[in-house]
Amino acid sequence: MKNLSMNEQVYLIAILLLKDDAYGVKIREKVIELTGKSMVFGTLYNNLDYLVKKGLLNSRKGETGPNRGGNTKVFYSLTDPGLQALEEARELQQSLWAQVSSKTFVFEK
Amino acid sequence: MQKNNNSPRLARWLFHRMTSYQNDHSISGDVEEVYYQVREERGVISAYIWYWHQCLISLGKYLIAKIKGRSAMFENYLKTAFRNMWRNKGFTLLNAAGLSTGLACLVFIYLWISSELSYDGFHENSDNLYSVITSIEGKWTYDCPWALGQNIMDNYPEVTGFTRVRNIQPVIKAGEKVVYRDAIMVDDDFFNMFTFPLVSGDPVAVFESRSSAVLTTETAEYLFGNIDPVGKTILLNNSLELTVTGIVEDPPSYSTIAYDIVIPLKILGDDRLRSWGYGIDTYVMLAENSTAGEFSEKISQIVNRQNFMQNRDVPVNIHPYGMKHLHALNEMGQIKYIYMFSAIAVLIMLIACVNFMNMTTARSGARVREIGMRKVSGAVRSDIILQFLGEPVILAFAGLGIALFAVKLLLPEFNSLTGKNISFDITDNYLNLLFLAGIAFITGIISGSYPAFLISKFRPVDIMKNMSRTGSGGILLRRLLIVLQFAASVILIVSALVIYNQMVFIRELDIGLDRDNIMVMRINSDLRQSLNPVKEELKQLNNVINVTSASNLPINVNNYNPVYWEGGSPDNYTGMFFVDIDHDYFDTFGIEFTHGRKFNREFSTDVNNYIINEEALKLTRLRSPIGKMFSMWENEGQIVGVIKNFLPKSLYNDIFPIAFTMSPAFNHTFLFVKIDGNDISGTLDSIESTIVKFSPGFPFDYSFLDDRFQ
Repeated sequence: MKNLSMNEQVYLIAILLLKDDAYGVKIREKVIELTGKSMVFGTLYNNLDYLVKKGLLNSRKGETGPNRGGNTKVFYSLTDPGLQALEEARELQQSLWAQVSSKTFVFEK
Repeated sequence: MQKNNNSPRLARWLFHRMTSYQNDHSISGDVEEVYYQVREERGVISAYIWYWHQCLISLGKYLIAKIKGRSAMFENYLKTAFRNMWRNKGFTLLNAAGLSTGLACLVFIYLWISSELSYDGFHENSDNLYSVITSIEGKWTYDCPWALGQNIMDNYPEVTGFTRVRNIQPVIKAGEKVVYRDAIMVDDDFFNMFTFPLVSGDPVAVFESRSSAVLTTETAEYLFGNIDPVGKTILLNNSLELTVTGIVEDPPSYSTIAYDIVIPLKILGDDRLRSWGYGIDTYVMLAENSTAGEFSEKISQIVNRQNFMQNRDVPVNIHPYGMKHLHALNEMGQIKYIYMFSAIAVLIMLIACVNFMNMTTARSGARVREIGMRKVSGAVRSDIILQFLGEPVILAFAGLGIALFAVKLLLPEFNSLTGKNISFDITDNYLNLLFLAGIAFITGIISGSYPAFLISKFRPVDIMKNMSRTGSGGILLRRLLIVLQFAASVILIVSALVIYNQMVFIRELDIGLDRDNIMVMRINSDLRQSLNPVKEELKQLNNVINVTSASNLPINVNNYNPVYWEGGSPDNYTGMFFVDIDHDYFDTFGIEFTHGRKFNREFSTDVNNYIINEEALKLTRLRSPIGKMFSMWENEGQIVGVIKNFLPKSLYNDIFPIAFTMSPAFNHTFLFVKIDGNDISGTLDSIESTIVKFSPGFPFDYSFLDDRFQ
């Protein structure tokens, strides 16, 4: 399984954190909060679709809500492979940075 | 609060369209939700702006993602296409061979047609250049009276230049080198009108002196090597000394005016130049803003009081120079070949396409399961169609590559077959390449269209159940296509055979005159002076049967003159061709007589008399022509014989009425020696030594009559 890109990790973590409330509006909010950058809905759904295609996410149709013009919400949750990928990502991350102390960041002039 | 509260409708609609099956319009809903939040927080206008911002950017991202997605699919198709082709090597090879052969033919035809169409287009003034043509007895000809050009220039202000062009084949001597070359004699405006760039020399001044000459670079190199020829002298026909005043670039192969040397007409003297006698090509250049139609009307009745046929009106007109190569004056001309070959090209392409279609459809049964799998794993009908269109297109491009390679290899043979000098460099002209690629693409699409639509219709259900029903829909059309294909192939093969037979037929046809083993050579000025002694000596040689001379080659009759006969007068003349000959002409060529006799040495008056051919006899409508008066150019004499017609240059032309005369006023250009075929090289040697004895300054240049015929 290929390593997750940073972007992909952000999305997966956002959805993980949102638990049952992980649908479009909320995911976008969370991702913007996590990254600090703004995002258009189009980008969001492109990425979500891609993650579903890769088998890391599941989508589930939910109920409609107020102000939605009758459109249903679609909820996303992590699949088992998705969870596993996230776990591997965290391990990789930790083992990488464990070897780098703050001292290494000082560059010789 | 409901009024004007909603999100922009257009943007909403756009969002609606941007969904994939997975998120089921939820994007619309999401944006709606946030819209209301934003509206609460920042007001309607901000909300509107926000909404549109979301919409447009999302649209952009969505489209890009789609394209990326498609191209991933595209890669897969390429992979499967190649894999497929590899798996069915034989089939693919056959298809590729068929397509590339067809495409190679197409490319050749395309090259030939572009070459033909590009003749004479390189002149800067090509839009304003015209040939002057005159009409004799309803037939238009490029021959004009010598003085006509100047006359037109003087009388019509819209004519900005004129030149006459006369072709000669003189002997050129420069230092040690003696050789025959093609030369044209022109007027001063020549280099002004026609774009033949001078490598050295001033186009305005090159013909200031009468005895000047301009050489082509090739001729200059041949005669003078590396030395600069300007200022040097050359000897024309052993009698005329000319100074080289300039060098011109070799005329391109796609020019109807070709030459090795350019000489001013002024050499011939004013009398000749101002005469109203016939027989020279004349070109005029019109001013930029004049319309050819108007000018042509103005000029179509020229009355020249200068004693051309006693004040008779001769229709005069102009003919665009650009059309000269392809369009003959009185008939269709070369351009019919262009139409013909285009039609053939289309036919060939059709055959190739149909061939491919049939082969693909026939094998579609084997691919059926693949289609089923694809459809099951989510391919839409349009995807399948694309795939099946794509394969032939790829094949077509591969075929084009092979075709271009083949063309490059075979180009020399092609050039010798067509007598052209086509060079084909792929990088030469991108427009060419684009055009050919387009053709390949279209061929691919056409070939693949039918199988594509047919095959993509298969439903996975049917395929899995293995119903043979899926093939039945195409059979009728497939049979039709095969019939079509055979029909087209048969047409092409039969036409080729017919043409071949015709050529053999023409070659073996008895045209009424004997042309085997007759050596032809030009009479140079030395020979002309001692023509009779030369002939006598030649006749004494072993293996020489007969010797004669004439003003034209037997088939190349092109002197057209006014004649009248008993009961007629100079005022109601007719035109006829004429050849000036000697006593032995008819014997040498084995021409048969229907009336009368040939010219006889015993009758000294025969120099004034005429012999005509059957066609001419028909024109005169004289029942018993022998002894009747006949006159060419008011030289009255008698008809002493009538010969059987011999067939002209091309079987399509009418047989010309020809009159033969032995008038000493006309120079003979050709010497004919009939040999008996034994020891040809020995005979040629003895002929050569005789000729050289009489004209030592001239090279011995000869050919055989039957070669010239091809």
